[in-house]
Amino acid sequence: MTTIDTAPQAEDHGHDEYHQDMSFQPRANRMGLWLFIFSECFLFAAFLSARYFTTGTERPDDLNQALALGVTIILLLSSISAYLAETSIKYDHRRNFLLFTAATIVMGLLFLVGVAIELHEATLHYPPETSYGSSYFMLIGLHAFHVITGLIGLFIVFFLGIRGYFGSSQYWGVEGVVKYWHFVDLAWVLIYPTLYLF
Amino acid sequence: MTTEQVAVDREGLRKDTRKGLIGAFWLAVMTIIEYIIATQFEGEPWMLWALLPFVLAKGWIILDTFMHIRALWGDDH
Repeated sequence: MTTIDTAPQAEDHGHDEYHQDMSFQPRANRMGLWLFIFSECFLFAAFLSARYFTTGTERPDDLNQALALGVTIILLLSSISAYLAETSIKYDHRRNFLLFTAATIVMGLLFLVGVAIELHEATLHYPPETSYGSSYFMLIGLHAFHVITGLIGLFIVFFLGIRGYFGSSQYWGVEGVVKYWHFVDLAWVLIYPTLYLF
Repeated sequence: MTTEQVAVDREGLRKDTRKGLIGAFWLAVMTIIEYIIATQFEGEPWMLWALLPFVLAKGWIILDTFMHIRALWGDDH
């Protein structure tokens, strides 16, 4: 009898310990992602400072300001929809989560189309051989690469979401990708004035 | 899930959504102000210093509202 009574207790105790051991995981995940983002900041800072070092605040007259403002607005809107996607899954609103994630992906793709047009114009007016052009292509290219990787993450989250993954108790995958997407937005908040406004 | 929990969740969702939309509103306002200043006073030497506060404020809104940076020291989430 005693054996029968104690065995489940021991098992439960082990189970509790397992949960206690894993309780640090979400915080550790967040910390890991923040460290990665912090390391990315150095990369962007290097190229942002290179632009000021090589050309100061001078910029060509034929920059397409309207297009740059347009892609900036699209990226900011995508950041809001990404935030709403994360908030939706946090409260188990799966339909809204999928809707906002899809909207974020569409806006990310639109941003890339805008960037492609920008790059095409740039090759005509300020090619990579010029000092401004080299900074321009490097920063836009680096940022576009991050947008593409963010989009891949969003696609994965979207398809996992369709298959029923994630919920209010487990949405780290969504949080991580969305956080990365916000970082891409944050980088653009610095790149946009650096290349177009200052 | 009880009716009370559903009400709490709805209130939480509404609160978080409102927070995000307010952040988005300020981002939009500051982006437009930045654009107007930069296009109206093109080539002015003080441009960088005039726009820097807007850039920093926008960066902080993204870090705080959208990226929940304060969760790192336990004030959020």
